[in-house]
Amino acid sequence: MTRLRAFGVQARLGERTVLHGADLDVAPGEVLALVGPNGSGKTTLLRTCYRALTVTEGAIMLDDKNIHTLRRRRVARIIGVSTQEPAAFGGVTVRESVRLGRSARRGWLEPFRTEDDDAVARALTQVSLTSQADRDVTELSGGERQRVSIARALAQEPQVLLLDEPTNHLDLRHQLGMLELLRTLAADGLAVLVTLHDLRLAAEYCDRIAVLDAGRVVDAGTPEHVLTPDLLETVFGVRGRIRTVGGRRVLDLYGLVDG
Amino acid sequence: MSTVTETASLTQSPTGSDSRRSDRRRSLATVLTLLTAALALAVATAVSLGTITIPLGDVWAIVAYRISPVPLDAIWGDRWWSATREAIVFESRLPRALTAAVVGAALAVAGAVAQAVTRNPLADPYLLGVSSGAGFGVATVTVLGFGAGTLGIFTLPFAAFAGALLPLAATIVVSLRAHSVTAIVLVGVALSMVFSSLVTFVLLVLGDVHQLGTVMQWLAGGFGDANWRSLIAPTLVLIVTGTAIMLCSRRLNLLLAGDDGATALGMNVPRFRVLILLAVSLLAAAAVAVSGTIGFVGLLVPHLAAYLVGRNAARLVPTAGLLGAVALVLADILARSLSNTTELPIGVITGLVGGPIFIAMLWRRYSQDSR
Amino acid sequence: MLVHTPSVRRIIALTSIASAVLLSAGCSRGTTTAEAEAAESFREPVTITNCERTATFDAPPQRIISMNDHVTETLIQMGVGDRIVGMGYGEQPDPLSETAEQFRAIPSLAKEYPTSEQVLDLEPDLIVGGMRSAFDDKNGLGRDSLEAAGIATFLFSEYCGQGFPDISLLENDFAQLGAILGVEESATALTEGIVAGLDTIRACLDAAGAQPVRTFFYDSGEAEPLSVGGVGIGNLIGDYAGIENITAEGPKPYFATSWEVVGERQPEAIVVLDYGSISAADKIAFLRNHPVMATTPAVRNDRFVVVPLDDFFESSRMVASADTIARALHPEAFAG
Repeated sequence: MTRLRAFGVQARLGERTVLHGADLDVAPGEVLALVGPNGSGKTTLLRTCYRALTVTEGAIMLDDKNIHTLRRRRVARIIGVSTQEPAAFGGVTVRESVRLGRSARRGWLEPFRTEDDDAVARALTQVSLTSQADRDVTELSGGERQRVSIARALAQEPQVLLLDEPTNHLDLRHQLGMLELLRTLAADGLAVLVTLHDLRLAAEYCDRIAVLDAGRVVDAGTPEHVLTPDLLETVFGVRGRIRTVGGRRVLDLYGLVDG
Repeated sequence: MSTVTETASLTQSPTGSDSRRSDRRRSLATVLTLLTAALALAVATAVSLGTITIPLGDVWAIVAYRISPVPLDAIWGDRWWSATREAIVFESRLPRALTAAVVGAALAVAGAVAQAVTRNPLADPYLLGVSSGAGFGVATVTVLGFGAGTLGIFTLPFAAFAGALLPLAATIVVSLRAHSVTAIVLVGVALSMVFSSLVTFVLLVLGDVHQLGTVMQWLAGGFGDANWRSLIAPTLVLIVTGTAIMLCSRRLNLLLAGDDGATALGMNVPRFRVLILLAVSLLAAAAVAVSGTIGFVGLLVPHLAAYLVGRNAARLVPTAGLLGAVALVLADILARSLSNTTELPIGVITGLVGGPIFIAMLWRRYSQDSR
Repeated sequence: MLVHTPSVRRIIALTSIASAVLLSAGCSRGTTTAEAEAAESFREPVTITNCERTATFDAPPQRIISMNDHVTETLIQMGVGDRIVGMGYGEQPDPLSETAEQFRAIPSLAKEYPTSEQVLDLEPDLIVGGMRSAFDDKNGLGRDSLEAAGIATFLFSEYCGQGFPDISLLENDFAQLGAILGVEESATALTEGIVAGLDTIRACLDAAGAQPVRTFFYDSGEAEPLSVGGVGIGNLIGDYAGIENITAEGPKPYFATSWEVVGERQPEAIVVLDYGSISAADKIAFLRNHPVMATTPAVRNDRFVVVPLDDFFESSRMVASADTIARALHPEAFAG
């Protein structure tokens, strides 16, 4: 089981420095939500964690190894990533698209084997796409395509799972289903890092929360400790507080901060 | 090579519609066999037809006598046809048909790969300015006389090839810094326009009417001067580049997951993209060098091939290659047989036939989508 | 290159002398450019129809622009060289010897055709073109717009659109030019010289009983050969030179055919038109190496005749090309 940590990460997009020294710690068995207002750099931070973006300062570590010292394919076997799916280009079925997630485990010229097909089938079941498995990806709705992306990450059978806004486009039922799935995976030992824009879902389903604001992680910890009324006001501009109801955390929101 | 799982054991397809969709992807082996047969038939037809009529029996006897390792004179008697007819069939029609096949395959494969690597269904093999670069090379040699005649009959093809790679070089320099696909494609478009203008300048301002005609004729494309020697280079490029592309088919497929998705799956996306675009441009440049700029094949054939076998690169590339070969041999037959003294430029045929087919295809796809 | 054989030289010399005599008799006034007045109007206006355009001239034009080399030479031969105020092309390195001095004195306006501004600036009253491209609408030099500006135009009939089926087209053109320029006698002398030259060649061939040689005219082209059709001047020159054009069914003066057709028809000789950046030697080498052409008697027997394209126009140069070809292919008719 692998632990993902980021230390003092600085990163640039073009000329602009987006991350100014961000830290993260995702342990096996937990779901860490990365939240923050738009433009705070959530996606950028996520991208540094799987080498889609090179950091200018700081390091990303898998256990005790810097990911830049590992070969890309090795990283791909450990970290599974679900990103925003690009515009669909027809001619590929859902099953074929998900099966791409098995690439890191096979040589570039090696054909896929039965165990790959099994992993794909499992992933499809986990995201409830089994009935759509043989349809062309262009025939799916936005939410279904999002789930394809998640299934692909699951098919990698990773130890660390990174998901960028996995609840986008999903209807309510699938949103809750998705987060339940993440909890199950964490319970199996995965380290799960997920960016979310919905604070209420984050509060309810995630073990820990890291709040990113203007490229810096301003606080990280359990939702109760982090989502204080103060932080909610300063960072998010809303008034609210967390309470625990029958063993579950609920975030109440009272409205906008004036001015 | 990954194959579509024919075994439906993992999924129960409860609704008929789902299984119908997977049936539409015929077995790859069937498709390739049919296409190979179609290609053989097309080549055979191309060799049998021409501006003069030679009896079919004679045509095939000529071919047989020439390629047979055993001298057939002893078995079937002396040659009963003129040396001219033998030259027409074996030195003119046959290499011409084979050139059309090779060029068609090269353009179709280049187009399929260009579309995959830019995730753009409108990409074609000339996306990096290959065709206007080639025109520039040809115009420069014809009008300004640089290196005119140095390579004999290979001067113009070489000039076209070298010219075609000029915009590519510039694009590569840019793409090593800017990693976005859009940036690369836009640079290619811009360079295409720059070289087009240069061609116009060289031809209209510096050149005379006759040179203009020569260059335009050359660019409009055709296989009239095909011969065995000029077939060697494009065939080699097709085999080598095609093999390299097939070896990269899994990586090409990964790009369907997006740049970030592919990176997450272990690929170095920017480097791969540059190498693949180099391969695409090599194929396109080799095709243009031999036969001028022929449009539509590289754009359209990949879509038709994808309709048959899907966009999994390992299936798409060989299918597109065969389909492109068949298409261009047929187009060449048409170009030669519509008039009995002269030939239409092949670009006219591919445009006039390809255009409506493309529109029909788009119509079907987008009227299905309207919900 | 241009071959001036003794008989042809004599004819051209006679023509020039005749015109010179007539000119000196008639042109003592010697009008020059700026003060151009009507050297004498015609007693009655002269009306001609050239390429389906009718025009009437009250007086012979005095400020002429000639658009092509062979036109310039022809006008000089007719004795109006001093009325030419400017010419298109004009870089002909070897103008006909009797026209050379005047030719070189005329200002060349452009490498090919002048712009409409250059033309209008010279205030011409007649523009004579030898090819259709001389009167290009796109460049403001269409015949309509020129005539609307008060400038008369004349186009050699070779390019009127019906091809050049027989020599009467030249006779007609030159007669008309002579009429509107006021130099009928020298025009007639020139025409008669040309016709006589062509007839002489034919007579020699007939006398020797020469059979027409099946010939392929090669202009240019690698994928497809550009050859001479049945309606142009090339075909006519071939008739006089004892040639049977193997592509006489071609519908245009110059048209594209295929190597298969040419090869199948087994030409015995090839006339190579020489011009432009590809040398005749290169063209011949190309034909020798072409797999289909290599099987023809012409290539096997190495029967090539090179004719400069400059000599393939409606002018006295026609005689030179007919002569070159006839002598090359029927040497026995000219021995002695």
